[in-house]
Amino acid sequence: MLAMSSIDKPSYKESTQLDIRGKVCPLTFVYTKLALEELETGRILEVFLDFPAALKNIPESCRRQNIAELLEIKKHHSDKPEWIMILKKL
Amino acid sequence: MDLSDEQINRYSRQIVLKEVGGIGQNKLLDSKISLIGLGALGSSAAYYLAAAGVGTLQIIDFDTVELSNLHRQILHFTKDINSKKTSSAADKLNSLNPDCTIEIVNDHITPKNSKALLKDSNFVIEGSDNIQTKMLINDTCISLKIPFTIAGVLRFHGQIMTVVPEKKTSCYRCVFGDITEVDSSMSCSQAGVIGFVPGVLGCLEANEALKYILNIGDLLTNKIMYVDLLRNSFNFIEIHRDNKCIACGDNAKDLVEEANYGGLDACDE
Repeated sequence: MLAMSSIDKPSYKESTQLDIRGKVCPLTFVYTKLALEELETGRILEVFLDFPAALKNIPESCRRQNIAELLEIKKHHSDKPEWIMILKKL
Repeated sequence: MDLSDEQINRYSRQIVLKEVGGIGQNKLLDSKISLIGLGALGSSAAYYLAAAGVGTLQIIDFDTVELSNLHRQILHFTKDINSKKTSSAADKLNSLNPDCTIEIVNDHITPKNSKALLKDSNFVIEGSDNIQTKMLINDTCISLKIPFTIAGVLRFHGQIMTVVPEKKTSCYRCVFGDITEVDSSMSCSQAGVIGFVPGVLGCLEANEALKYILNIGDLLTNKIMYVDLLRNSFNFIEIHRDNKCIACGDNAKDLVEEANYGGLDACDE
């Protein structure tokens, strides 16, 4: 599985980071799900992504499977289509 | 165990399922399933289990591929005629998924070797074409406390049941007693079988194994599923454990050493 990113500074305390830039759906959710499985309930996962459809698909799948709650989505770069999705493990 | 990027991609459509995930995929990769018979039931069961990423598949058959097998035994190709079914099957399964280790047993399964062959299995799939072997697998798995599924097919219909010895669900002998002799006119070679029927039943057997390994859904225990593809019917017949069953009843003995399997030492797969 993808190594957790160390190139971006975490914006949440004690969060885990996952870099899935370059991945497309449904692998975006698959990698996110695998990362969430490693976390304890209540922990935060920051997902770095660049596939626009995943902004909707990942939270929707997480909600349907009751594995994580979407806290927020932030723009990662103002000049590039990259985002940080903040998920809380349920 | 961390899944590789290739594994994540290969299994992505099942990892994505709520019931599987990475945890379930690792359970499959860590599991060993034994399959008796590489005919039509075994072909579809083995194919899908290898594809799903079962870590070890032990395949047991002594037979060779014949031309008349090919309309239903989809693991074997025309070029495989006269080859051992185990080597023909291993060839295809290894090509399909290198994650799945194929263990070949090119031999009859008999009362003398059944326990040794099956003892390390997490689940056993019975796909032979004769009732003597089905009885032997039933008795062996009950003795070893290994869950198993048994299916049979003829013409356009088939049946399947699953037994979980540790949960004392009804077994094959609870239903069929100690029958070891049947009318040979009721075999597939005499009565005929349409290829899709064992295809469907083999898939159902694989599905039982997968559900057991992942501890999801409902198994076909305490019931027989009866499938008639000519009439498109899928019916369930409720069955109950027989307290006096010679294999699993309250006073049952280990039958493998002493039961009569109708001369199974020389029996077909």
